[in-house]
Amino acid sequence: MVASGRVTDYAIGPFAPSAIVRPSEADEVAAVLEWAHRNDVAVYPSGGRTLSHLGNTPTRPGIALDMTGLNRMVDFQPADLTVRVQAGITVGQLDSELGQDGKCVPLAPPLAHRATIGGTLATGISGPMRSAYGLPRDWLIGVSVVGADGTMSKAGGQVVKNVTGYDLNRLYTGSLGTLAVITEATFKIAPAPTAWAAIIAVFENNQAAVAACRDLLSQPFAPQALHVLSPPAARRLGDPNIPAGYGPVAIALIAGRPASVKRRVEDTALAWLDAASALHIEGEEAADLIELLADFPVSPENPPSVCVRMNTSPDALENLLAMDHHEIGEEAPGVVADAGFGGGRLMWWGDLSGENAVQVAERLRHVQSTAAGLGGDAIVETCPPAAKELIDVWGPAPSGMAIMRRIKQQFDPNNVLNPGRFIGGL
Amino acid sequence: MASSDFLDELRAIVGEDYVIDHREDLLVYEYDGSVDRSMPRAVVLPANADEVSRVMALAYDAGVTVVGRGSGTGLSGGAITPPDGLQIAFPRMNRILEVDSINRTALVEPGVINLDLDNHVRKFGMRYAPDPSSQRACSLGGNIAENAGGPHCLAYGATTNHVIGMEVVLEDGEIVHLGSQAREASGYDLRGAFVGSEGTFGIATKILVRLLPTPESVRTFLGIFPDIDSACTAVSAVIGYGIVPAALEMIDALSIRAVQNVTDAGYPNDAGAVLLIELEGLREEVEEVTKEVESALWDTGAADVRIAEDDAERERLWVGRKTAFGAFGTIAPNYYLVDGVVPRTRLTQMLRKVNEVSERYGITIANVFHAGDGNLHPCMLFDAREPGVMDNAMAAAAELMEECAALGGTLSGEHGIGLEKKQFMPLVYADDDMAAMQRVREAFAPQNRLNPGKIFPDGSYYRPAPHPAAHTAGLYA
Repeated sequence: MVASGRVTDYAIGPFAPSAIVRPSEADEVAAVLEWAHRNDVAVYPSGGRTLSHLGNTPTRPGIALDMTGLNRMVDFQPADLTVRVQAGITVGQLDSELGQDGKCVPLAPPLAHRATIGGTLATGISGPMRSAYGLPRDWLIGVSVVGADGTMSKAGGQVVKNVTGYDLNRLYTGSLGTLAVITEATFKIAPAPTAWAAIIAVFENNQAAVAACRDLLSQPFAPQALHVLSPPAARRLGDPNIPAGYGPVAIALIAGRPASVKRRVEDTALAWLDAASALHIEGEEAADLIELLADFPVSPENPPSVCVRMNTSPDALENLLAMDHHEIGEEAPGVVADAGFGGGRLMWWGDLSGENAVQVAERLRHVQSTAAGLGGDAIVETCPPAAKELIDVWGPAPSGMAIMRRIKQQFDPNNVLNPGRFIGGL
Repeated sequence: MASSDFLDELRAIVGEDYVIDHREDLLVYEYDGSVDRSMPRAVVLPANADEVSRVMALAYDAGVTVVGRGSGTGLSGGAITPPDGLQIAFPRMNRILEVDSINRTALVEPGVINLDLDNHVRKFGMRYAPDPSSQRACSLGGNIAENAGGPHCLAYGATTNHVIGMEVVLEDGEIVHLGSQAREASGYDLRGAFVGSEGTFGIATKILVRLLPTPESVRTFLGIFPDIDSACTAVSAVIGYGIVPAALEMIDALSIRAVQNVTDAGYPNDAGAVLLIELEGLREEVEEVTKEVESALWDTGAADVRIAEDDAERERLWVGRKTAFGAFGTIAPNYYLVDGVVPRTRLTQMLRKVNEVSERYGITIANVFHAGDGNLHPCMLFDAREPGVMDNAMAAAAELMEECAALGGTLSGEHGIGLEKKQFMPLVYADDDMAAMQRVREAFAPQNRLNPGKIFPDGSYYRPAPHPAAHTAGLYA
């Protein structure tokens, strides 16, 4: 099961693993981890490699564990609205299989056709519709994992409601593979929307956009998701329907049954009559826009050289939009703010390889402390490797850091799984 | 513990009036809604997080076990305190500190009553979605410990889906913040691990909950079925069509009789089972889904489908559901309520098993439960004065747990494991699964000083005499 792929394909920033192992069943994953544990070799689990740059730089040499060989749908129970899959299946493949039955697990990670279920859970990455559909952790009802010493275990189960024992599903989700390697996951599933629409409106200024969003979000016909893009972000998104104006662009995303989609579209258009300009798109075009927004932070056509995820509450919307003056060198960031859920992203696109790493790091720390001042945090998802060496991409240690350290110590005492990449060097 | 010095030090922290240690005053703290009973050495009623922290630090240094108590409505023994343990209760920490309409959140203390919060935020056009049947009495702190559910969890998820951040006190008195003001936070999801940890990780002293907007349109209806099999088929049909209602509850014939004995909820006396279904959302959406649900009910053999005409009628239908457990008092003086989950398509099979167990053990069992998510609540009705009846009920419950596990389900959907079901854990989890869980407990509470002896089948463990009298009250579910 030693794979023939090039190790550089599995690089994590400047770090390249010494070998690639590609198991095809959970017991092979267990054998690899048991071997690694015995020989004190670090293991870097890998999925669709769409977010492999996430996290701090690895601190120990080790091997890549390519999970894409575990790619089967194990059990689909449409009448129970549950599905069990191996971790290496892509989100796109799961979407298409469930879609044939009119169902979905509404995850929408970036590059869903490549992103794996395991990677989506490990990163906890959420999509543009999260304000209506929630986060990956909200859909996961059971997992099978292999622990750092090769021991297989499971948590949760196959039923949609479960308080039997501690909720390890939520602990593993978003733990970046530092506690265990997910081999199988069970989700509850939902009916897939049958209609899509988006309303795109340009506003005079941030204040007007924020006011319009607040008003819309307080209405019963509020869209499933509502994002505000600063002008540079709107231009970079590359959707032909987005007007290349000079004001912030609000995008209301609407999905569901045709009758309710129609109502939301009509009432939103009425509510936004004051916008400088507004247009609406439907069907495929709207679905494409949602995908474009999902892919934006790692867009293959237009990848940002620095991308920071802001975890802040909805009332920080205006503060977030005002962060467009946080230049790196000459380059100002574009802002994508999630008005409904809160938070969003700052993205810088210019070539920043010539910038002084100390100054880049200084700016990123400033962004992180601004987020802290807003009661949240900021995660540096993408940045030049030299700057990454100087910061913790996950931000300053949170209040529960000592507990997190003890959890890591309990689950992976030899520091074998993804060493150094998570918060506080875990 | 127990030295009078320790109690004096507790009094110095919280005030003379807020340490309870007289036997007669402790009687109400020796049981919760479960079958177990044990009198704590003392109960302390702190006023704020600082007092909780100092009490916990004191207990930690003295080697005293601490158990948190909400309103004592728990059904798995979560608040039962060992005889030498200290119980902390929160009637004085019951303030709603803040309601934020823009962020749609509320910041509350752990002693706030679930329904009080919901009623309060409805003034702002919002709601707190988790609605356990005990919501008139149960507290948010207890809801967090047990990851409480309720009928509307079908569409909106259990407590864990509605908690954004918490201030908690650890076993040694340290105050930490889990989660944040934002719904996503950097690092391990300690918030997610904490909710449902049954008081073994720490004690929440402030809770930031998520609120939902009240829906534009609500439609409540009753599907009336000749027997429980056809009602189960209807549940599968509704879910199988890809419809997830806000609530989908089943009430069997015996429960209908009990309810109608005490109040006219509008349930027909001759029905074999009724389904109480609620749809919420935009008018257009509710309109469309109503038609689909109606046809699913007719297609699966409904004798009648009735839609509540107005708020009063809707209220009446829900009063029936929510008073069912109290109404069982008209059938037998005591009850033992079992919580279990099966995949939704296995409901028919599971209810046949319930029926078979009922006959074999000679115990009357009523069923009122969250059918939409496969969460059963077989309720055993008996007179505890009859010798051996409790043991008989426990043995019957054990068989039901085994069947839930065998059908691919689990031990508890919303009541927790506590003392009640810890011996059944091996039915659903292997040793390695439980070892992984224990690692998280080791990280939160290395000395295992909080609510020890719960959840897991081994460890320090006591089981006092059953106290069925606790079950004559009818608030629990």
